Amino acid sequence: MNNRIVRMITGLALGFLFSILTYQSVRAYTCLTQETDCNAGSSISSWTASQAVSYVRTAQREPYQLGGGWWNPNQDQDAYDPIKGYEGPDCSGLVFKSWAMSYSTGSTAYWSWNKTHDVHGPYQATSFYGGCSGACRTLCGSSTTNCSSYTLSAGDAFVGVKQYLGFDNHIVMITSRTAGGDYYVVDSNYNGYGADGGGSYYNGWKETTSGRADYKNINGVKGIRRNPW
Amino acid sequence: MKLTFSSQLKNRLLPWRDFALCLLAGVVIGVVTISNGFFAQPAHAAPTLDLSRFDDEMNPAIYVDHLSPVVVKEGETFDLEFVLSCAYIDIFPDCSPNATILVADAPNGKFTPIQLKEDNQSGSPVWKTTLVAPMKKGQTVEYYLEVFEPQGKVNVRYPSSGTIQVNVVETFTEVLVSPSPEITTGELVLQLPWGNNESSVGLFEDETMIAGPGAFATSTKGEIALQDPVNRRVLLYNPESDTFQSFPVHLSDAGDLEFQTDGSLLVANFFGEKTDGEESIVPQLYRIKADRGAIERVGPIFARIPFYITKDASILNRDDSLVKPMNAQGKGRSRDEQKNDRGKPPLGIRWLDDNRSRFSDPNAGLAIEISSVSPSGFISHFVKTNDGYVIVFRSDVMHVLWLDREGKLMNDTTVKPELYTEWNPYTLVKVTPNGDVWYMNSTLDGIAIYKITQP
Repeated sequence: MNNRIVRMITGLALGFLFSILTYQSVRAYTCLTQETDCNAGSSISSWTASQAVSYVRTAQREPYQLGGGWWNPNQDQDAYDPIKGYEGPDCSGLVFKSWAMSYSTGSTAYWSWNKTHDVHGPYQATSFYGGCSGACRTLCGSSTTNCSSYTLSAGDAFVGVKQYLGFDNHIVMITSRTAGGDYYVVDSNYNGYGADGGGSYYNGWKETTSGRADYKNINGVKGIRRNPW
Repeated sequence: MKLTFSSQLKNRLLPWRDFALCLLAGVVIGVVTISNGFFAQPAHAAPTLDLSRFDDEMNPAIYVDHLSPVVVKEGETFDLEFVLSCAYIDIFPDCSPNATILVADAPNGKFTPIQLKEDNQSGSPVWKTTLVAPMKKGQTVEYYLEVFEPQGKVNVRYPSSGTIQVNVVETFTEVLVSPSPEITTGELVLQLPWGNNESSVGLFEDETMIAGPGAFATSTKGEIALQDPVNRRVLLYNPESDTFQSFPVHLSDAGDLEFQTDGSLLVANFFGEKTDGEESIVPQLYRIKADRGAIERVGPIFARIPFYITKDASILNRDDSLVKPMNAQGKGRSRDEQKNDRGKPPLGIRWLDDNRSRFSDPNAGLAIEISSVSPSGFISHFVKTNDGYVIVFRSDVMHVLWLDREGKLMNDTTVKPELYTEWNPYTLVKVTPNGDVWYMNSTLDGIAIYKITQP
């Protein structure tokens, strides 16, 4: 085979390889990066409150990460990911995915989100507090009242802002009720410095009784529900 | 000379022209291949479910949320409702569990299957049936659930072992509670500032949370044990010597401590740790023996939602079963041992609505129905004491009721706990066997423990 043919075959192969590798790396990046829809989620026709409850429970014993939107549901802390960052959703990211909300602000359409993809959604706790631009509604609570005399259901959420909570703006989902009439919620807990005694995270999700604040009885904390539930 | 250089260059580059053209062609072929979907995700074959990722105790394949009626009156009609949801909706988004309840209305009676009916509540399916309590004093209604989900081919029994028992009583001792009495304050027993020295407790504050002690316990000798997760220790106060002892251990703010009858102190981290032999984070139990020598790890607690430690070394799990993580020799028990030997809480509670709750002590043949003029809040404690019972209702205040052994209301009082750090109404309030109620406040300055003596 003469040199010309060797060069041509090599060129062809390298060109093909270049395009495939470029595609794969761009695809890997865009599919794992926040605020993209590439394999992170898909439109679905329905989603119930009980499905939201099973979804939110998968975050149990996973880390909390401010601004985060992904977790590997293995009840353990995963290693730092160079593209997605540290594992763990924050409160609004967890409720956004669990409620199967659309990335389109205010839309009540349902989207199924892959837990391991870093998608936080457009809503912060304050956006939930303000009604999610129409995607959720307030059932109880205002600046001068609380939710003590209102019965919330599994899949509803408590949301509060710092002014009333004492700590930062926060949202937690209700999973069920206790025999004593209290609520079970999935809330973040202080966990020392690392579940393994040497890790870096101090704040992890757990299904618990009441949560870490008396959400039901704090004036200014609202009980909210996803629309159209 | 110029032409010679140009032609030399041309002669040198000419062979690479084919290479460049082929490189370009390769890129074009690659793009065409990609755009034709050759490298897209292959169409999924029918998904299969790896059941090994689930276990009945910590991580069930199908969640069953259910509140037992606990105690009903003879001939009373009552509903049983179950919410079923798949933990594997990521694989089968349309999973649709259905269930059959098996009911027996006599001890050792035959279980009869009843197909549950699906009802829609707030957009979610609820499986329910209605039963009538038998007209026979002292009888129980027992039941369990068999759940099947066809897509994942998953069978689940609820509860995973044993049955749920509803106590049938002839009548309730009726108690009417007036609106909460005027707010009082207990007697201050111990006050500690925030800090990390011998006689202080740790405070953690950042933009997302404020954390401090999430539990305390008191012994019959007057000792006070405090969970101090920020300083990674248990702090033990001895009132006789007015000294503190520190026991280093990694804790979360979710946990509890409780003195046992043998004088030892059990300490639980309900968030948990990953230990040898476990693939995930599991709640952990520790013990400080009566000689107060050192804190030692007992082992894991296989409870999905632990509430608190009891005085007989059990953990109340999801308010309907008792997990026993430790054997009589003080050693940790295996997952199977904990699963196969679960207990039932000796006392039953059932909140019916804002103004009505039921309480039962089947061993004493007692059933109480409490009605309140104003909303009572939820029930955080129902404890049998030396003289009767103590009930604690929580709303924005803490309403404590003392009842005698027949269930008659003897006294009540109201306090308003103050919480700067996180709250836990179950582990920051303790009822002692002599009927005293202790509670912890937290403020900007530190923590304070108060005692309300039984009137």
